[in-house]
Amino acid sequence: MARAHFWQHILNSEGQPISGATITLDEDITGLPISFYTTAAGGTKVSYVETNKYGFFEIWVPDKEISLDNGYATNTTFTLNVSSASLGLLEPITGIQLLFQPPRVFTDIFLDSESEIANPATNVYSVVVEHMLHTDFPLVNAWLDTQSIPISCTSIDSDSLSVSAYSTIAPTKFYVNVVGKDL
Amino acid sequence: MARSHFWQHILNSEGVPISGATVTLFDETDDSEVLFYTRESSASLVTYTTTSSSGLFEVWVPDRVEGGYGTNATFTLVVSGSEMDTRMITGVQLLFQPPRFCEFDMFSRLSLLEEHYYSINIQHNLNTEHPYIQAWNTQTRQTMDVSCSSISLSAISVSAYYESEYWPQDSIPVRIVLLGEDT
Repeated sequence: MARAHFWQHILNSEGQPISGATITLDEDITGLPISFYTTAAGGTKVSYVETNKYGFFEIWVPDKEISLDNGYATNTTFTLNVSSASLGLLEPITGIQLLFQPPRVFTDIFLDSESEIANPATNVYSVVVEHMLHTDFPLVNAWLDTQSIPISCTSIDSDSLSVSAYSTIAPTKFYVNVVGKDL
Repeated sequence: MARSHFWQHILNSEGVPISGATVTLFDETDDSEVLFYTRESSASLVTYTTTSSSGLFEVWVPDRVEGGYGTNATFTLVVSGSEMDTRMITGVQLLFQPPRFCEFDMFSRLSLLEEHYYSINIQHNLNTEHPYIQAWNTQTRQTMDVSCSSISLSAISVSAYYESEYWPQDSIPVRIVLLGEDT
């Protein structure tokens, strides 16, 4: 489970912080108010938060992972509503995008001319990829020259793996794509 | 199609909002002026926008699918007005609908097929009917073949062959990793 952090300072038209303003978020598609956390981990969900004396607020919105958290998808957008006793309802901001732990794609190219492609058995070619994605079991695909190919992978550790492919033609280039969490 | 939303409040040195300031964006790869939208669903591209009475501006930058920019493009933001010095912020990064990476272990709720064949229904909630899928044996740390059937936009069925001394096992050391749109 991951939570997206969103924080701002709320100021009045003279640039002074507004303390005690009420902050709520609505989901853009449904228009429904959402519940969120006030901390990165633990705690219970709330439907609003108030700015402090510096006009600062922060919220943590739960993601939609398989958890029973009833959270939100990576590409959900939200409307931020701010209201205070002295100023009423301020200009809402729609289309707020949050960042729920996006993955990273790591791509590497291995050249036969540089002796980067091993040939441990007849018609088997392999490379070791240092992907540094901090993911023990990432998504992997590979291409030999211009052909995508079935591969067999062995995870060495959370930052590297070996990739082997079968081909009757010796490749000049071995391309590997790895997708991982990158935490 | 996706547009990345970027918004800020522009204030003067005393913290007072500047209204009517002109906001433009430039693509840092070639310093060309960026065409963007001022609303999530508007159809007209513009080259600039202006700040509101509260100093707020918002732009919606189209992604490559909509003829716009790549995920890792960076931009320069330029804000100018009669009551302010021109300000320039370089290296602005935007968020173009990132995918999501999920992991599921086949350690519970397994269905038994014929001997050594196991199946599990995975609720991935990625809103992606045909996600990118890979399976790993977490004991040998090697990739393995599985068979998948899409059940819905949010769920798949995965069947795996896992041979062990005793059959059936309550759990098997298989991790399924998925990548989807998460819209």
